[in-house]
Amino acid sequence: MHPFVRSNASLIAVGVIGIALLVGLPLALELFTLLRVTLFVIFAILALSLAFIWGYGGILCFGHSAFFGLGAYAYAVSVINVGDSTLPIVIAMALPALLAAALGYFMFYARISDVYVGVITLTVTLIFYNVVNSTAGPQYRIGDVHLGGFNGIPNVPSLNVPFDPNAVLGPQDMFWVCMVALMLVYFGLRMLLRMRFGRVLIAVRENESRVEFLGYDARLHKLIAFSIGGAIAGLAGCLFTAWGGFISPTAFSVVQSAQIIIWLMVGGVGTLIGPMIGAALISWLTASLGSQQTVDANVVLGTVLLAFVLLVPKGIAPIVTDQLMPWFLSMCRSKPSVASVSRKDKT
Amino acid sequence: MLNVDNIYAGYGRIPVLSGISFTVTDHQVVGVLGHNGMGKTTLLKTLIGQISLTSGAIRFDEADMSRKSSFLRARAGIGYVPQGRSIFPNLTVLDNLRMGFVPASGYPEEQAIKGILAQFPRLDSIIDRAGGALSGGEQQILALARCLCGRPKLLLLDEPTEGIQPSIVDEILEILIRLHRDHGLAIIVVEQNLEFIRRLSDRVLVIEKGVITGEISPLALEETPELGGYVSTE
Repeated sequence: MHPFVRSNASLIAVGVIGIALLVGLPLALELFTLLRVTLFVIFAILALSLAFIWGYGGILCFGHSAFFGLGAYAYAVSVINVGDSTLPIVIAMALPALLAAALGYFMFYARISDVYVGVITLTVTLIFYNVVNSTAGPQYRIGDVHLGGFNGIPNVPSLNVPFDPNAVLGPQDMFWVCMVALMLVYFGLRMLLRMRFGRVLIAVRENESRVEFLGYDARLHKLIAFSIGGAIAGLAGCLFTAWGGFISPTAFSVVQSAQIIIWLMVGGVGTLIGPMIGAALISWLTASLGSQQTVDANVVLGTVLLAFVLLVPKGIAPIVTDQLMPWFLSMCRSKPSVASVSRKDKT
Repeated sequence: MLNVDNIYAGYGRIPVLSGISFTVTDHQVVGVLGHNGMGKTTLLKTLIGQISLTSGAIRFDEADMSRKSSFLRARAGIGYVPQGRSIFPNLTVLDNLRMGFVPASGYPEEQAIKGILAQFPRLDSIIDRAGGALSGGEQQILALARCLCGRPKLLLLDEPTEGIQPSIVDEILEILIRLHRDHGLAIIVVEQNLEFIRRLSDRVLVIEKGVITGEISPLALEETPELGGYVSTE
């Protein structure tokens, strides 16, 4: 095998699978299912944002939905006011990135870490949730947009072809855009993690002081990673609003934040592929359970989470790569091929 | 090179260093001796900036380092190898070495790593192994090599021989003597191994209850057996 292929096998595999899904799913699925899959893809982008800052930066953000919700609202407000979705996408990423940078600056430069970061971020998302929830009055307007409080903002325009507001994207186009966005985010993060920045970030997760003794500004690395995570979560929020045409304060809810953490725990913290699988799997399970009346969906989801924490604490991806794949490969190597067996029989 | 002027430092409200002053000139190796809990490690942590000064001043190459962050002190040329090795166990030996290379230093990374591997040939054969899979001695050598990747002018070593087999202690000692002799590396070494400190140091400071109570020549360590009382006995 060519050394380039060997060292990039997982990247190539993900790329091939991604392109196959991008092309194959719209042909294989009916429109309703494709819409559902698009939502899973958006959630996978959201999962990647936390996977990057928690799994690689070691920053446990309990209130990640703050960035998701801010991106979603930023898109809704700006696209209704502007009319074209091109600039709102940028705003939807920039605002959460700025919030993350400001929040991160005060947390990391004040040497706040671990559980306190979790508590602060959780508080921030609760503040957003309560503030946006109480904007039902007619005086709460930004330009032409009435924030709507707990009722949210309806009739948010979908994405359009850049700088052409009349060319609005259909459901199948939305799927393609979301898939391409997911692949760009995934490969972008993989590239970032292979660079010196990524190496230092992982080292910061292992021991911040050690990294500083070597001459790196650990706090700056955390701040940059946190801001990138915020921007990606904002992108997910933007796509979510464009997908559904509606946004409400539940985007900021603690349940939403907890869900992202569950996706990561199920998929595997410390990987990028795992959280995407976790997001798709749990979202599919939630949607499937929501369509039946026999069992309470939350009970099942709680049981699934407990089972993963107790039985597969590392999550799906590490189990597959560290245990199942080596076992499978050793089985393949030890199993004699049909040709060799038949040759033996003849002799 | 380093001027430590009447520094006070500690953990929260508990004072550990109570007015320490000394200087280290270019190319000098200074050993620090003292019982456990007298402030030797705290002194090194204060010099690298992990513990903040309560008062006093630290000047390195004429620049005031007293309030600077650890990473700025490291970039200025102070290298620190903490007690217990402190390598990155999940990174390979090569990646650990890469971590020690600071881009701001102005010379190519590969060249720096090649140079370090020439000085530490033991690491060459285990370059792809995870840091956590190495023996204690190999980890110590890796920690030292990683620190030297950043080309420090002053090296702070906290008990480099602790828990390491004698053959590797000799290897580390030879490397440090060579670095000092050939490259003029200045070193402050906190150590319990009297033979190690005697062979490496130009001068030895004795620290008691956070204060430097005396200075002795390395030869005196050999001639005065009662100085053995300044180190822990196993």
